[in-house]
Amino acid sequence: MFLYGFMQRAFQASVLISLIAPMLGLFLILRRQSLMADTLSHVSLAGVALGLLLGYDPTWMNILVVVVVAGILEYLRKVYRTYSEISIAILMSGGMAVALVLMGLNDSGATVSIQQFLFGSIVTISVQQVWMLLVLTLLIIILYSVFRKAMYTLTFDEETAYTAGLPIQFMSVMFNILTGVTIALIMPIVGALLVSAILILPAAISIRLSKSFNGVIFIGIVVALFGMIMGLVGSYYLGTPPGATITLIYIAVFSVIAVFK
Amino acid sequence: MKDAMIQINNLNVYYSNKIALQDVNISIPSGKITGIIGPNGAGKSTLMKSMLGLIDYQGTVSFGRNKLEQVQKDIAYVEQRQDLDLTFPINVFDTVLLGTYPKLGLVKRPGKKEKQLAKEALETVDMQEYSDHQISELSGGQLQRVFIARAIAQQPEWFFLDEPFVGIDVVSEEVIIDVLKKLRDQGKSMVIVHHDLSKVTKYFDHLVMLNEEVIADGPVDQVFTKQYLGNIYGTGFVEALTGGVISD
Repeated sequence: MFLYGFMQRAFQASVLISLIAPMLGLFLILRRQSLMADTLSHVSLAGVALGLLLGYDPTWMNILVVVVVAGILEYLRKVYRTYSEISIAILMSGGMAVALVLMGLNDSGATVSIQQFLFGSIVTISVQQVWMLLVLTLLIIILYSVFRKAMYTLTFDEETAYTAGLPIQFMSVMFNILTGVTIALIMPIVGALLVSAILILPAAISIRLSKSFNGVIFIGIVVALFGMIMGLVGSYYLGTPPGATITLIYIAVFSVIAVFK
Repeated sequence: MKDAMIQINNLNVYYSNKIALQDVNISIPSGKITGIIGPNGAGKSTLMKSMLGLIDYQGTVSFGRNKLEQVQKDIAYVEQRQDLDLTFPINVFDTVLLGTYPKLGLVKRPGKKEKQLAKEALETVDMQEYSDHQISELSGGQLQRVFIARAIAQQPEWFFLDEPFVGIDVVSEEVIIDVLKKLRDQGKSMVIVHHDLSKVTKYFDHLVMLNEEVIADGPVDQVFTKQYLGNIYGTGFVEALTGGVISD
């Protein structure tokens, strides 16, 4: 199967996603924003639909839309501080609704395309996407090593981080934007409906296995590599959608660990 | 910073149009342990949070000649424990090490010096043998000592503690108040939100008595009186609340 160019690209993308998912996923979980990934993936469907309708590259349009919404999300998080899930509900349904309306307005038969974005497709991964993912991965690794300390403080104890003079607003927005860009880039591969599983599950599994922050990230990467690669192989041989196959493997791992730990 | 007192002028705080604190005009001396006391809902934490810039307020708060932003790194804040995520994957030592971060800035990593500070801070509160423990494994009192150690590791001039003695064991309470008094004797300043009136004369040098507005403020022996307490709690309750430790 490695003879196929698309499978090579799929594996390259999987390795890159496995590196970044646990880092973002752990912060998302600890910031109580697990559902933000889901929200942004619905929103990114709207981005794709807009791109297809206007005839722009859906990837770039998608990134733009998601980045804007990630900023709005931080604003809503502040407005509805006590029940922050409201912002999730508003934007998730809003994103889906916009996507559906835009698709309805588009009568050029692009619905086939949107199917790919909903469920993901490894056949569609382009060389350009792999390169973009590589740049993003490097960026996240650099940002993680530089700002890990500050981010850690912010996540553990936002009020103390604020009183200590950290730019918490700026860091929160940057984190949301980075999450948004990641989702926009991996969404076409794993599918909008399952992006959050790919981001959250490796960290959700590893947080049960390690008590230290770095330990959680490291085990998360191992879990992610296992799930992504097994999922791709499974998806290739069984002809099943990759996102769903990977998610099922994660859930199987999660269940095994939940039983024994 | 050392000799700077906190000056609060015309401070008002509203929570969705309802007034939480009204026309607060006080000064809090440096080098003393100042208690902010009052009944539930009196605005004690609100006053502390507005001094720290955590909530919006009208009025001015200054630290000597400085604004909050200029002295922020010299202020350590220990919030109420219930506001924290205790399942966070972090051990006791790393929690204390967090205290050294404000002075390190955004990107610099803690080195030998910071680790030594954290170690010493843990020893100060007698928690060194718990260094590797997960914070979720600690009792309320032990956890509070760890957070005090985090504040100490920051080497601040001011300590702001919000209800530090709630839900902790007697030993921890004694360790903490002992440490705070030693720090005060070294010239540090403390502001403590507190609601248990029986310990007021033992713990504090200076008091701010609140009930949505300032009822009285000044040295403990001058303001911790039946008259002022009666104004806040109703005269019938004063004896019971203070355990009899009170001047007229």
